[in-house]
Amino acid sequence: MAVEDPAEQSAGESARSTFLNREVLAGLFLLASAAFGYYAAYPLDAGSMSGVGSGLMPKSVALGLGGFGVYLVASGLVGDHERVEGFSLRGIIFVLGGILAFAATVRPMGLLVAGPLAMLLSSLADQDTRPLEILIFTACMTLGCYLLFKALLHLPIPVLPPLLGY
Amino acid sequence: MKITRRTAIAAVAALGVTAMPAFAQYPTKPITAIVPFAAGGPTDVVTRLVTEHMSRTLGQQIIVENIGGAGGTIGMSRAAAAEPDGYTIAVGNMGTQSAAPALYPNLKYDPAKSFTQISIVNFTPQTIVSKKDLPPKDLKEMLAYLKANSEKMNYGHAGVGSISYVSGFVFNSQFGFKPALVAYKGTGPALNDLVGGQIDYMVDQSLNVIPQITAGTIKAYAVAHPERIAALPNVPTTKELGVDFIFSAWNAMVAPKGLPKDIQDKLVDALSKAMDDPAIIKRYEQLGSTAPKGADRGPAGLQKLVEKEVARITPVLKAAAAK
Amino acid sequence: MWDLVSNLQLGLSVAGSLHNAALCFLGCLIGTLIGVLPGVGPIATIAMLLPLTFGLDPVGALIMLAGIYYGAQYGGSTTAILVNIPGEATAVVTVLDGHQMAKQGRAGIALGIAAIGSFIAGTIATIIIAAAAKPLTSLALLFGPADYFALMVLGLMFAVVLARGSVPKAIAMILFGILLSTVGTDIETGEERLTFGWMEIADGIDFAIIAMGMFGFAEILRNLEHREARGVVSAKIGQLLPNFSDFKTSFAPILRGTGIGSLLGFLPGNGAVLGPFASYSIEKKLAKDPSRFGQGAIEGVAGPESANNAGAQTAFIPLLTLGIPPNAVMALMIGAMTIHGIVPGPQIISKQPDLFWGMIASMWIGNLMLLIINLPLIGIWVRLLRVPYRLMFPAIVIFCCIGIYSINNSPTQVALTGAFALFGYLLIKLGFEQAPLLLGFVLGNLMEEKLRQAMVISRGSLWTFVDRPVSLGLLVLALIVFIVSALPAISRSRETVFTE
Repeated sequence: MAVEDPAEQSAGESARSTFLNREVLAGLFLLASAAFGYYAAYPLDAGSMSGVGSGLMPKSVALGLGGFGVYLVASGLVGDHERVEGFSLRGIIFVLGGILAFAATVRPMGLLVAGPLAMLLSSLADQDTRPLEILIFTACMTLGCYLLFKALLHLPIPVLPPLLGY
Repeated sequence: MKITRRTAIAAVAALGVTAMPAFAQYPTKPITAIVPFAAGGPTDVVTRLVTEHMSRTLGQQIIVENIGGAGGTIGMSRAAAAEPDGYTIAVGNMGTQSAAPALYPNLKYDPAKSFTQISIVNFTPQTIVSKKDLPPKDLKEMLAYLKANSEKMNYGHAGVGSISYVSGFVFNSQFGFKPALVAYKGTGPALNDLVGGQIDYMVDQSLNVIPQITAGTIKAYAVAHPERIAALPNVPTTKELGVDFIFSAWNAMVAPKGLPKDIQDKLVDALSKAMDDPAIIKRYEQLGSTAPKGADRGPAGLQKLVEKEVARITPVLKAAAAK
Repeated sequence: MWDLVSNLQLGLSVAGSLHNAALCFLGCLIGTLIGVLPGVGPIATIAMLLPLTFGLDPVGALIMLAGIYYGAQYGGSTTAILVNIPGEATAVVTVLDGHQMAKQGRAGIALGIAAIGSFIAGTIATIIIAAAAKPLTSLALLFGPADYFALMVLGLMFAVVLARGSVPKAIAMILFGILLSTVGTDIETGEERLTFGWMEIADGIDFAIIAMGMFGFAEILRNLEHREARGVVSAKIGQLLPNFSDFKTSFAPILRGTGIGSLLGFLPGNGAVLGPFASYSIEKKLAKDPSRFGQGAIEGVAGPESANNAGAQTAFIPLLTLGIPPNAVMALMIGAMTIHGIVPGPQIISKQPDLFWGMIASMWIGNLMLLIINLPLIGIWVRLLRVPYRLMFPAIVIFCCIGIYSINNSPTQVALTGAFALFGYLLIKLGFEQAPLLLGFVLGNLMEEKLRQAMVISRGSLWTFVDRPVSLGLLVLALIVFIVSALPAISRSRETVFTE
């Protein structure tokens, strides 16, 4: 086709201008991970044929990952790909916050504190959350978890160390 | 604000009243026994056996908590760092209490110093076994065969730091054998390949190999123990064959350092009673184990064992790592 | 032949006794309910419930434990379908199409076909065990490390077929999974790899942490972002159970899955984990319209679930005939046996036939019980899905946290799961798929272990893979699978070039 369609041309241009598209970012992520993996495995000995060392697998896999990273970056720059959609920051902060809160408090403060903390904190991630409803639900769930995991299954999970001592 | 004398006396009395019973009437609540390995393994099985009996003597439940990882050192580190109030005890094995210092440079505990010793729980003698088709007919032939062929042979073990690894090292280095070491993830897979003939020999706890020996799927050359064990009456001992190789795996009960003496005494006593129970003796026999007797029992016996084993095993392992 | 019948009769009389049947039922029920909890897989369930069996007689205790095991397996599949969380490695594939079906309002159908497929698979597997346990064991013993490695390579080839989208990205994910599997203590040298001195992962990253983080929590993050897409389970749930046409579509996959699962299950060292992956790939290849896979194709649930259950049953073979556990769950079983005074070993068949045949018969009874227990439960589960998401996801969070904590009593591992949640979310954003990563993770460990063992035994000679007939055959098969899968992709791109 000698004469190029102007619409196509501009579309091509705008696609090329979003060079930080999903493929490229994916490739960069792989490259970063590969580099990190190789760095972590660096002190390990790759060994020899009769004594395959502990380093062979991690290093060669890291190299392979890096290779794919390069491929993705290249194909991302050349082709026309979608952009990465936005992150939901609120979800990340509150859900992960809830999980971390559980991890931090379960041993010193016990299930009766860590559980509700995790639930309430993570519930804040959703705009639909209704305060009274979630409070009641949390209370019921915590009680349920206590009955199930502690009373019934005798899991060695702390309940409320500050008050009960176990 | 005036603190009346009455209030002060009442406060002190209250403190005294709450502090006392914890020691006088131990135990007042359930005790946690940490097993630094997965449920169902040799240490776990024997712990559940004895703690079930001890629960009855002490009048409080003993709950087994499995905290596995890093050859058992994670669980034992947790135990060493726990409150020495008698409500956390642990059962480690030869790996965690003797081999660990040589294998883990960043170990967070010292088997000889970080614990209040309670007692050895059991001994499990090692058995020298091989695949069914290995030519030698008895131990003397086996040793000669190994001397001539060890470099072409394969020794299987359950991973660095496992009992089969440590005892294998001591065995091979003592006699100067140089087999290729094939690592497995646990005793199951290693035994599987031994039965299948993919590897040549192993030195492992009797508990693991008794069923296979009895069924004839593998060959047993000797038990590395002064006397024959009840579960393997037809397998000679290294002692009677004149070979100097005695090696037992063992499990030991410990508590965090600083345990009050009277609590320690109670635990030692309860464990001792468990080990004298006829039902438990019978179960021990089934598992190819023996309970410690006489001077081996109790804190002093365990401390002596730990120091002896650390001294014996550490140079062997360090030499291997240096290669 | 008559031997078999009389043995089965003996088994049924043992397993069918009121005492044992009741224990079987109890085990299945409890196992299912606990296994359903997101965050709690079969191993955790059995370990938790093991003490419950201590007061029982040995045969009864084992029957109950086996019931707990199947129940937990099925409960794990339920969680995979309902909330996208695989409780165990074998449930990962169920997540792919099962959860999609749930999102389309077909959760009941998915759960139903999983239950029925599992029952059929379990029945056939039980017959296989009863008839051929010993010969199969001898077959399994022929498998050396080199053969195993070849099998793993074949397994990885399946991932190419598994991939929904871009093949290069899928392969990259497999590699990533393998890299993650190397974290931990090296079994051969004892060195810590990629742990940065962190004791908590010195034994490797637990599968549950990755599964829960990348599937469970990451899915929550994704759902929170797309508020319109979730919670819209179609107002009319429609049929609750599979209908005849669903059956017709699923029948062949069920049979194929059973065959694959049974074959791989008794291989020592956890060969059963490959079963569902293999079944999924085969079904996808055989289907007239492969693009349905990943969007809620019923074959994608029927086949793998059958493979799953068949593998779980035949995994008992090495346990019962040799006394050697093929995986962690069976090791627990052996421990339980030992605690109850039974020393498992090759002689159980002859010395304790009532135990052996009783267990085999109870396997079938257990499968039947599962069907009876679970089909009615489907109605409840489906109704559970209608709980508003704003309440559902905090509940998932707390269950998963407790579940992870209960594995090793480690808060750090709970936090690590959170990190994987972020990681999984990132992957989704970048257009990567999680399933190949998990496949790589599960196989990576096994593959490396077998490779190194084979190399030590062969003293460094690569010829060992070609010398051994089994290994050679499997590698050739792997090559064929790869070519066949990659070929369409190549010819497709060729076509597009030609049309331009």
